[in-house]
Amino acid sequence: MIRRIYHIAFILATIFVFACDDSTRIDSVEERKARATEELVEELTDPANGWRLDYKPTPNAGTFLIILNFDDDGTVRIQSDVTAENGKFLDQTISYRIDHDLATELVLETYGVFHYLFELNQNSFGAEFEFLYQGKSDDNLVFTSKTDGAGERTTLTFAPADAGSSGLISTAVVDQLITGSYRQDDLVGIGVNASYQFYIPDDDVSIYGTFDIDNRRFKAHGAAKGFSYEEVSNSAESVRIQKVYDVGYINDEVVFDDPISFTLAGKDYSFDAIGIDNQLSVDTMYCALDNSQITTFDASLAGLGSADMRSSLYTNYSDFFVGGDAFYVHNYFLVYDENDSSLAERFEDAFGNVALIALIYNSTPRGYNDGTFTGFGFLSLDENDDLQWYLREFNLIENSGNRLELEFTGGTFINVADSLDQRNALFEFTDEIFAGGQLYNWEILFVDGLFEIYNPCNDYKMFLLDN
Amino acid sequence: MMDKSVKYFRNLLLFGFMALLVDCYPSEELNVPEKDDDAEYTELDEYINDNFVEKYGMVVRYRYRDDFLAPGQRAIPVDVEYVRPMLDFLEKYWIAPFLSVDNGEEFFLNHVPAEIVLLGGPVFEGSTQVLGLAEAGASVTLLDVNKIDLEDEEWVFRQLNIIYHEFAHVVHQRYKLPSGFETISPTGYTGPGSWYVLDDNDALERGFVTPYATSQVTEDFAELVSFYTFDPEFQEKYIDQEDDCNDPECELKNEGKEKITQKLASVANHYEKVTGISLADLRNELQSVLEGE
Repeated sequence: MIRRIYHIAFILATIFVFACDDSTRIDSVEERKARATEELVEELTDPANGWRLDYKPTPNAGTFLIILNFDDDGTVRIQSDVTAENGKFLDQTISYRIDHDLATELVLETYGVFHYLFELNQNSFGAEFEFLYQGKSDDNLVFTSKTDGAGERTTLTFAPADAGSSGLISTAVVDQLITGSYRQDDLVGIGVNASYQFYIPDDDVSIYGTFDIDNRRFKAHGAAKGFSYEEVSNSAESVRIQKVYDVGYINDEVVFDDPISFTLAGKDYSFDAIGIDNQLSVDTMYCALDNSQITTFDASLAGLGSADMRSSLYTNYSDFFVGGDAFYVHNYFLVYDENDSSLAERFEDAFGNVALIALIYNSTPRGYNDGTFTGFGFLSLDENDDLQWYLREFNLIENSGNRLELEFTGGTFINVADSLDQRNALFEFTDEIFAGGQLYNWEILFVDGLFEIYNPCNDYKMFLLDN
Repeated sequence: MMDKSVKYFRNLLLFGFMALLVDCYPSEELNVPEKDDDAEYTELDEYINDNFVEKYGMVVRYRYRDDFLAPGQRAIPVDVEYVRPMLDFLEKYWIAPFLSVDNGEEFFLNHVPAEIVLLGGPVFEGSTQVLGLAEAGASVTLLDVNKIDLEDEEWVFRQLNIIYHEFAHVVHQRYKLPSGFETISPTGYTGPGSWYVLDDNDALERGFVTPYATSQVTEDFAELVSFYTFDPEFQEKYIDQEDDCNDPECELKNEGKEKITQKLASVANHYEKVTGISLADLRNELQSVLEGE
């Protein structure tokens, strides 16, 4: 019996000695977190030139070039090609933290370029600033977004930067492209669009496209033989493209994710980058009431050669006002004068409980019993929430590409009795907003069916949604 | 009868098992360090420590943590360059007025919220923008700090509304509501889920300074204290009766103003009684700071 106890005691003592060996015990949660933090900080701070991130926040945005240099003092120097907020994101140092809520996380904890992108488009842009660490892949560090929904998580790959990576950051190209827009500032969360004509003299071919500067996208509208508006709009040889491409601004070039390709007059065209040089401002006249300026560049289209590039309100294809009928509406707040001030209060004063503006072409408003109507006006609600229409008729003189020419008449559709004051206001507003009778339109690339409308004769602008 | 040595070894074995069980688990501490403790201590942190933590026992958090927000809410962090201006704003427009009035310093030091959280922008919940975060006095979250602009009256009043509102909650939490406060406009309350269907005029006709004040009696109390303190036009907007009132809308407004007048008297008496602070003096202090801009 005693021998058996001795044996058991000996085994126990052995287990005791080995079981308490530090090398075999499981560390506490805090110890493991600390080690994970230390390991990730070591990885982040390792590359001599920092990390290069070609950041594409969502599938519906282009690429932002970002270089990150982490320091073990909890700060990270971030260089980017985002020129917003007076260039503060070009080179900025903010603080970061390694956290461990869902997994090992990298959190950029004070405001910087990622947060700016996060808030774009009324917080709907899809950028992020909390990243879940997924581990290493070759020499790269792989993260996914913490805040995206499952199934749509953005993957961010930090690749070791080389000595020249930060030199690839291009800011001039954005500053140059933006000069081609009639509107330089953000309006109600809708960034700046800039349309251009690329003219290839050897082939007498014009290509039209619009940049969404903030979202880094480009919509190629179409191409046609000819240079001037008259030549292009009357050309028998044209091709519709109407396709959106994602872009990045790298090494002073606009680089497309996919090549822009089309065939015109039997010849194939394809290019995947644009280099621009020699920016000039040139006077032009879009409207007898107003003088404007356009921007011109010497461009080189990779794969095609040189081209004359110039900002252009006109593009030769548009999805606005196509087909036999059209009905566009939007909140009445979204009509702006030349100072970007909304006319909303004036509309409220004139029409009371005004709800919407409407642009109608060959369509039938509810309660209109005389076929179809073409016009612009206001919809308000009466005390029973019934729709009140105040529409003034116009004749469409021309509809070419994204350009409309129209002329208002004395005809109206007003379904409200005793409304002389409102009728007068309707005439006053339509005369004012549509002075000169010319409109250009562009589709907002991140909202389906939303169009920006611009009158070059008075700098008024509005937004309309395809109903 | 068991042999003595057997008994001895049996006890030894038992001890061995116990030792094995206890010793092979590392010590676990309950007080897990705060996440911020890992952060580098900057000049700004030192300023916060000296002027807020040491002075008032109030932590100011400016480094983003997602537990500042409820699940589904999103907001951006504050730009570090605006933290110090925001702290100056708090000292000038909130702390200094309290410290300047009789009994204010004692009250402030004993009731100050433990935590101030700074966020850079508004809080989004899906496509909806949340205007403020209710923390019931223990913590105050200030939004839109990246837009700091003392020339922007709307921004200044929005921040003052939040800070004075949240701080007013402390009073009813510690000392209850004034007796009979909830009986002054008992039918005007809506509810936490329906206050937003009212506009400012609807609220005034019911006897409230804002639609949000109708959501519940404690919010009514906090909104009234806040608006009375910061709004320069409080008297004209919420107290003074309109003359030559002969239409129903005007009469309803005057009735609403009468209710607000009664509530204000009740709240002011309550403050004087339980805190020793004169709300009128506090208002005067803040207004002279605002007028000095």
